[in-house]
Amino acid sequence: MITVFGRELRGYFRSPMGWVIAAAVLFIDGLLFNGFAVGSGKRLSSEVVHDFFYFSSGTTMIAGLLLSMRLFAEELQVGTQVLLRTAPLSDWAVILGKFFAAFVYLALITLATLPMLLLVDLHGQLGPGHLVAGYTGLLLIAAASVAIGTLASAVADNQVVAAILGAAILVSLLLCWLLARVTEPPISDLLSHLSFFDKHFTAFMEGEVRTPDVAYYLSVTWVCLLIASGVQRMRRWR
Amino acid sequence: MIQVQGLTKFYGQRCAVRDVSFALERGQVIGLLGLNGSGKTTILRMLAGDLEPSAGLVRVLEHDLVDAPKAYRRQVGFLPDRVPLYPDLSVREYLDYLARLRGSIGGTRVLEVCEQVDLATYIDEPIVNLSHGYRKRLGIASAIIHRPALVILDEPISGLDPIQIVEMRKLIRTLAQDHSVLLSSHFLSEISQTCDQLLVLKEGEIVAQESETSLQSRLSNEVAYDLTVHGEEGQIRNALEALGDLHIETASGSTFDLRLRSATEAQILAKTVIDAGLGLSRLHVATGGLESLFMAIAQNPETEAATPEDVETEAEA
Repeated sequence: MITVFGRELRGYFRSPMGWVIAAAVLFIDGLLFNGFAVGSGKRLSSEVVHDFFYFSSGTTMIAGLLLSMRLFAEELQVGTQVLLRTAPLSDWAVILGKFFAAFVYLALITLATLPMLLLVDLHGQLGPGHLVAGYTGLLLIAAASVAIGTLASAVADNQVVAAILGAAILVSLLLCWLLARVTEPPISDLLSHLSFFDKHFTAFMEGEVRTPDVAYYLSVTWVCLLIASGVQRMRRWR
Repeated sequence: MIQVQGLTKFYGQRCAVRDVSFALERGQVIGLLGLNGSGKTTILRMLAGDLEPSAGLVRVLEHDLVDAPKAYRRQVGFLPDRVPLYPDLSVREYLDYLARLRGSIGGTRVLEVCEQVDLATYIDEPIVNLSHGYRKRLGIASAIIHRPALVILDEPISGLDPIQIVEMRKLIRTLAQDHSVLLSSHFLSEISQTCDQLLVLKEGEIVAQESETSLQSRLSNEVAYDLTVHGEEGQIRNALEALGDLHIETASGSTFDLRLRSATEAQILAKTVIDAGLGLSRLHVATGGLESLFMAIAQNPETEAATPEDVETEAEA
């Protein structure tokens, strides 16, 4: 697993794609931070931080999909998947190695936004607890997005299809809160609990870490990786 | 050392490989022959651990493909038809990565393998800059980097120029010193020059398994001999026409180049020529008939299959 992890992580640093995604995320986060979170009027520091995490969650989700779409689909396209399948590694170890590489790279990008928030502290008062909670939420959303992308990449035969499939899964989970409004219990309760952002991320934006929210993102991550592992195992049969 | 028994693969309802059995010893090179769709690549992928068999037993050094897949895969090196490469890596980085992936340590072994496949001068070259021939060599290096017992090569000479083919042939024979080699090729003459044994596949089943010469002999019960004999033409005809179908290819004075198709053994044939008072300066078992031999087995439904049991029985007799 460590070997696969190392190769994949180095791959992000060596490929133009890795740097383009990192630059784009930081640029867009910076724009949204200055244009909307800080804004032109007077705002409380907590409001700025709240809005930063709100906008940053979106860029993190998209970056998670873009970084993970290549994980398996690219190997399939260039024919190198055979190297992994014939190696003395379990499918699960390969999945974890690839997942953690994409997640660590995205986590580094996410943590690179920290100086923007530290600027807030120059003119206001920043609660460290709020920061820790917000970044915990962002890292959890990053893990879940990368896991969804990993699953899509394991299923699809090429990267474009993987990106579309990953986006479809993510948007479906995001829209669960809307569907919850137009359905009756217990379906509405279930859909509300499945909601990727509305139900589970708002607490992090406000500086609160709740066990059910953490459990939700970890569950999405685990289930997606588990299914991806199953898909890889099935590919050995055809 | 390598044991394959009853290997079977179904794709849905279609049986791609049926009840394939054979064994390989250390130092042996076996060639897999068959028309497109006969199941060659499916067999190779199953043996490499890339594809799950529907049934059957595969063991390398007592490690079972199904029961101990990790230990099994450590003992197998695989070069697919399309060499799997990461173009962004250098030769050294690629081999080092694969060594680690297979539970081995790169380090000096990378240089050792590069020297073995004559790639040492390109060790720090990015893979993207390598020619097709050198990419094939790198593929072979990647298949042996972890010192496997079994090396599987799918079409190792496809796309190579004549000089590279000669070099690759030598390289494959060198591999047999330390590994058992199983290869497939569409170049039938290449199989004939590189392999100790042939496995002929037809519609997913082995229809023949033995050396080219014994296969030829089994199918036609005749072997084609090329001879150079010195003497009178009439004397030659009297001595040899009784043994089989005789053709005089060229004649120069009292020297005759002959092609004789006969079921007679080579020693008896030589004795017959000498006993008839003729001179014999060349006696050679013709090997150019592999294509026709292969077509006879692969296309003729009446051809009797030569099973491993048959071969053993014959050897004992």
